[in-house]
Amino acid sequence: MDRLPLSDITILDLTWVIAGPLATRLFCDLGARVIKVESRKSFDVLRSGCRRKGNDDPRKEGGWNYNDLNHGKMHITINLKSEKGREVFEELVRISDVVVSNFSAAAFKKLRLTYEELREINPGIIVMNASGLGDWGPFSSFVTFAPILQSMTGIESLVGYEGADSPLGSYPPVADYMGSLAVCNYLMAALEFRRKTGKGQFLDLSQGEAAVSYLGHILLDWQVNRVKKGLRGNHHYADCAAPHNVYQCLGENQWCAISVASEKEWKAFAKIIDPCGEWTNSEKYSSTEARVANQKELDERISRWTRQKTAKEVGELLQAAGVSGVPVQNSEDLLYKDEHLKERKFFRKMVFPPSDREPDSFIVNGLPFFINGYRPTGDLAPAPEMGWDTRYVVENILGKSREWYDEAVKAEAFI
Amino acid sequence: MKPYDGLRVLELEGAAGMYCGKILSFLGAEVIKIESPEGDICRKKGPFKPGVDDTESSLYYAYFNTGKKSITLDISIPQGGEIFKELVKESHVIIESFAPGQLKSWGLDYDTLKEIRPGLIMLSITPFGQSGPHSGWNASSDLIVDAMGGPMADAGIEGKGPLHLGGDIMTAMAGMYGLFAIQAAYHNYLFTNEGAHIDLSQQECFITWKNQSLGFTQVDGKSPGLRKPDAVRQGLVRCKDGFAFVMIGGKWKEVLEWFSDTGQDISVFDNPVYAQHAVEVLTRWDTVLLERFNILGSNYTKTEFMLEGQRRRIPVGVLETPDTLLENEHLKARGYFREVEHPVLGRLLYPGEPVKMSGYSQLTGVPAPLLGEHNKEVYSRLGYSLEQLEDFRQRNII
Repeated sequence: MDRLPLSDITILDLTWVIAGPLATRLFCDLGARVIKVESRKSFDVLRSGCRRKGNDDPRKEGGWNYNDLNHGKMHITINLKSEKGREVFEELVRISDVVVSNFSAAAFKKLRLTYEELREINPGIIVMNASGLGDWGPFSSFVTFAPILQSMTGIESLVGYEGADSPLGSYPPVADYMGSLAVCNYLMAALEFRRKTGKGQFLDLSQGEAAVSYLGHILLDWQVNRVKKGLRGNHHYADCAAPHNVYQCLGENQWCAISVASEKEWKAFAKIIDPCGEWTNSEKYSSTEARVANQKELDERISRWTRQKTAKEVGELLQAAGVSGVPVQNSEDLLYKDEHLKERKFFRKMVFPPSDREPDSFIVNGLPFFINGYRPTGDLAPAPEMGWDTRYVVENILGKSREWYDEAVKAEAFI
Repeated sequence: MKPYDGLRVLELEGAAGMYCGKILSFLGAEVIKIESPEGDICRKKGPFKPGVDDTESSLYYAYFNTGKKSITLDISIPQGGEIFKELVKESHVIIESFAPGQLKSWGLDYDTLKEIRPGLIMLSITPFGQSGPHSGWNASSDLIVDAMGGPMADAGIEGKGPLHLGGDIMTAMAGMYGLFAIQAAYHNYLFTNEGAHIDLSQQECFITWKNQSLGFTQVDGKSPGLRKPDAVRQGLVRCKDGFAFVMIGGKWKEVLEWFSDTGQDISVFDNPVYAQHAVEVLTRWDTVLLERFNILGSNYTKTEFMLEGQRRRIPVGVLETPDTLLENEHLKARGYFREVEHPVLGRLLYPGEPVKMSGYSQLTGVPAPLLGEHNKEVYSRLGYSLEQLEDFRQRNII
């Protein structure tokens, strides 16, 4: 590629934790300049977790999670509550295309980050606040995290064992990832809108609303059919496929997943699991509908077969026959064993400068797509220490003198 | 003026790109679904409205294809392929999710099409990507992709096995990485006139959603594993009429206040093991803490519990099922749901825009198209007469 696609974009990033930072890191991966703003008094809470052995200071070095989501960004500290700090911030707004934050609606207004305020400084600015439940509304003041949003939006209720008295609970934070995708998509939409019209705008991102937009078909189902569906385990939520489940395999904690969604797939599967046609020919399994109706028995029969094979064997046998069967891979499998990911060079290695902390490198996620055969690969540096780039940004991007910078330090602009 | 005014998108058959195309239509792009004469396979995917025309009964199709146009065209035969190329000449973006090599076998791969339409952007979404040892693997459900790389391996109870998040939600999410890639490629095109072929792997998308697990694995030396059967249930508090979900989230002082305000003796929490709750965001509850929360919860309905907790600035939410969302007072106040009228399915409430834009009113009220509804409109734009269309129909080209 001649140029990185987003290399003309500057984002002033006040987001924390997962949703916002992942989104701005994706912008970074495609060439955008992202200036991450923290303050010494309140820094990104994600820094604290998952730290290397021997790392006592999250301000100097964030944990694995933090580094994965924040590498490549310039890191500055500004005291938004001080006059000088606000002055620096406004200068940064002037040279940015986007200001993105994820404060509560109240904090957002208190810090004077509203579109109405910032457009006075930069008429074309695009402002987004990604909050849990939105900029306004009866619940807009709520304190939320992904699991809370997942509970409130019903996503948690979709994950659980058939017959259990409650969902599994604490499912991984998909609501955060739904949020970060929405940040990416809508910032790009606003940038395009501005290119056409010259106008910036305010984007009110409610992570909850972004999440519910994945459930539209389930809501239509409820309105039309009025059936409360209980927990389904791994069976297909709309009975479009059977078998459709996770089965135990040979060995400890070894599982495979099998999905059969067409008659063609069923015939190929039957040949493997029942080569002599002893039971698969039965009326009970002659269509998806029939297989769904007899799913319990079907699962038992399949389970008897899978228990005698390793998960890897199941995957190889079924895939060779054109059937959707795979081992369930855990994180060790992904990081160290998956040959497919290795060949595609998906993961990257984050290498730390020499120190007594351990380990000296971490494997981190890459970008999940190629554009014209390009995506960033290979080794990379961790996110810098908090505030590392403050002086650089003030002197080289804002064009201030060394004296100006020193004055601002004295005025506590950067704590 | 719409953000993607003038952008022409061709969406080929299959589930993977549908939500991506839907949001593009919200944002003003013209999105034309190219369906085989029998209709997109997603028209056969549930949930369904019973008792109506088979072809138009899928609520799944209806939701994920709002605002789009539908034409029928068999691109797998030479005559269909030629007509497709004419459409490509007039378009900016193609979204496709056929198996790797399929389009090439029909002479419709990116390298061929970009000669016809310089600057073309093609998004190819597949379970495992266009290259690599597993690129030919089958995944007739996102259960399979989740197993190979998603959060599944970390979600569940030991012995009972891993759990998948269904509802085709993960498929739709991966599609939004695709949208971002399209948007970035289009942004770049405006600078360079250069198009792009985007190779998106659903497996890789899903892996980006198991961040925490990948990190802990490297720190601990092994995968986190499933929950132990006797592990203390985290966060789920039993209230009078159901469950609420609580995270302490650093608000330990507030939690202790709530316990004591409702008459509980909190001296047991003087034990230093509980100090972590004041500083860490992700903490583990022990049996005592869970018991005390359940005692607390027994005083309230789940909604009362949520409101009281939030009043105290503690992160709490009710554990709901999706059907209750239509009555949710917050979503209603925000006008989140839109009434959309579909000729066969009738008038129903659909989620509106996922993000509110102050500068532009998104097109959220247009229903999904009937099969081939826009044949006349789109084909006459290409210069075809009704007689020619009838002839194509006879020959099963459209």
